[in-house]
Amino acid sequence: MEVGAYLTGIHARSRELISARKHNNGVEEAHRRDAESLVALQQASGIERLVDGMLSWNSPIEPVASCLEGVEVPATNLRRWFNTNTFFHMPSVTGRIAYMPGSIREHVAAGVLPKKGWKAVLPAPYTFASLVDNKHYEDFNELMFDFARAQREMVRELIGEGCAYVQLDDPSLVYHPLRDSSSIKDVLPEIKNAVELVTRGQYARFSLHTYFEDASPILRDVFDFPVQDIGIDFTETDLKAISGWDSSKGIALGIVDARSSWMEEPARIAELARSILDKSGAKEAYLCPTTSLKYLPRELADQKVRVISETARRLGSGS
Amino acid sequence: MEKLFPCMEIGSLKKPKWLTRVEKCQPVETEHVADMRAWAEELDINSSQLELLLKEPAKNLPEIAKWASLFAVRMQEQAGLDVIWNGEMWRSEMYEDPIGNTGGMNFVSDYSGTHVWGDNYYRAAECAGQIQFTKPWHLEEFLHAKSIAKKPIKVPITDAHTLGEWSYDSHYVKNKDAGGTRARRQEAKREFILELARGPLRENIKQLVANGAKIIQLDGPAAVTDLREYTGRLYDVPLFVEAFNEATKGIDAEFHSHICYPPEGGYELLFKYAMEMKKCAQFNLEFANRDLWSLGASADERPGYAALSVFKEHNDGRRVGLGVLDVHNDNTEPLFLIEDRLLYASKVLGDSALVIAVPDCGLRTRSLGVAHQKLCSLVAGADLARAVS
Repeated sequence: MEVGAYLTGIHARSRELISARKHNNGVEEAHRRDAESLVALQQASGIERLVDGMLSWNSPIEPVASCLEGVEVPATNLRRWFNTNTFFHMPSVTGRIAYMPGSIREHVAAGVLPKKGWKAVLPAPYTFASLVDNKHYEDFNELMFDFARAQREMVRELIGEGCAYVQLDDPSLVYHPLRDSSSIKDVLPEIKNAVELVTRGQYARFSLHTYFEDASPILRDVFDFPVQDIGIDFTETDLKAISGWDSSKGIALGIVDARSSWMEEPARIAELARSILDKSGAKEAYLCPTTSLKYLPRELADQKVRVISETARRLGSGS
Repeated sequence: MEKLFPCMEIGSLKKPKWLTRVEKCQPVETEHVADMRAWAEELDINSSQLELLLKEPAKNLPEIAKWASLFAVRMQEQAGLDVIWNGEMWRSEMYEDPIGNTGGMNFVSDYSGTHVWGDNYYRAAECAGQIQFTKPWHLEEFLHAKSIAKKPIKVPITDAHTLGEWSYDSHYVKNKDAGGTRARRQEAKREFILELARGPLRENIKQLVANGAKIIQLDGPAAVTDLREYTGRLYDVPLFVEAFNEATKGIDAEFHSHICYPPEGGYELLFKYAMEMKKCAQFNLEFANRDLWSLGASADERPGYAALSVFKEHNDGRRVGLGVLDVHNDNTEPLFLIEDRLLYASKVLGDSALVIAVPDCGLRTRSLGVAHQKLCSLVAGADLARAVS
């Protein structure tokens, strides 16, 4: 089986971009250069489904929230992003959620991407709805469904811009340490319906990615979700869960740790990837980082991209 | 402390331009000198010697940092705080200084490239060898602060758990050959953090206390980063507690723990374990960031302080440094809002003597002017609360 490779979210900013943003000097140009160099790196590394690196995004949440009517992004209410040392401003939902047409374009560096066939990464409806301060809706599901409807419009616009792959990030599906883990099972049908609202009839391939926690408790249920690929963080997930993989789903193997400076040896992770693929029986597979590479300085993040690329090459050549 | 609602700072203040320019080997401009003069007048500091130093900044950085400490100390004294610090003017920041002076740690980049939030980054390091004490982190800084302060001082030091949590590790993790990758990471993390606590952190604390430090605040913003269970038990918060105890046991000083920005439910979980921190007399906690700005001292009106009732459930007499200033907002909290927050906390804890007025965190992201206004408001709000208690 041929194994592809792709990146999964916000990439690390370079020293030059950090400085440009800090001093508000030449920001646009620095953004463009950073995104161009990342696209070039992906192309040179044989990475598919090119991403722009979302280099203007401070978190996966605020830019999406800023595209929505009924949602405010405050200057305060700083909240931790799961179990990381990164933070986001928790948006407030103060009215009915609706997409503001055209607004997502501001957050995509489409100019550095090919005209067609690139990938966008967005928070999945459940994760977004779980991370906002709801001051409007009486019912959580109502909020999640309205967000999903808005996201549907957002995605349609991205597809119109040349996006062919949409990754929906759903860490809240697996990371809920203070909730009884069985309670998520009760809401999974609604979560699936919300994902369906986003994906149904759209001319793109969708993946759903979980990370920061073991995906095995919900994996069987997620097979029913209307997405083509499922991404798993294999630094957290019990490998036993992979046997019985739904072979109609592609598997995205998050086996390069995006939160560690330790550089994986391609030979060793190729071996791990092979054993996962043998167990899963998946027909399509992609290597990727566990999550966004923004948790590392740029040089190390780029090095991880090369590790992914080299691992994919080894898998392809059988070495 | 005898008076109710004493006021303290948490640690850092923004460095003045006339210091940061010197640190970066950039010229100090007329406007920076003018700003310095304005503050000197405000704080009644004779700055003529500093002006001479600023004319030849390249060779005078250590002396200029001492002057910046003096300004920070006098600013806090003038605002009326009861316990002060030097605004961490000697430090690059809370992570880089201690880690840069710890054996076994190497920075992974020569710039601050690890993202935290917005456009805020830090310069992360990885553990590449056995952790060792190499030199004191803050002793000289403390001795200088002690020599200039007219009020009691509190020395903030980053705790071992946070230093470990914010670092990468390629040493301890590779020495572990436990089963899954998660098991290996958890065991390596424990070994790494406890080595930091028992070695360099403890040695630093001992040296500070031997030289007269009476109050030490261990900064643990990462304490409640990871709330997951591992093999059936909570892992990270007990490790934070264990590291605190290892660093402080048997040392004769008053210890505080500063914790901020937990995820949802993080404080509630932490408080179940907090009383096991044997030497911790006071928990300095961020709350204002998540609270409303409208007035009132009822539970509905103070949603940001909801976790206090859980603290009360578990508390065995420890104090709370109540964050009443949002350090990420330039607006100054009105006095009556501060009063209401303090009175609400007193009501929940059932004892006003357990409530200390503090900002949510260090004020380093605000301008000195904003920080000064906020601290003045803190003191005045505490006065109001005291008057009705």
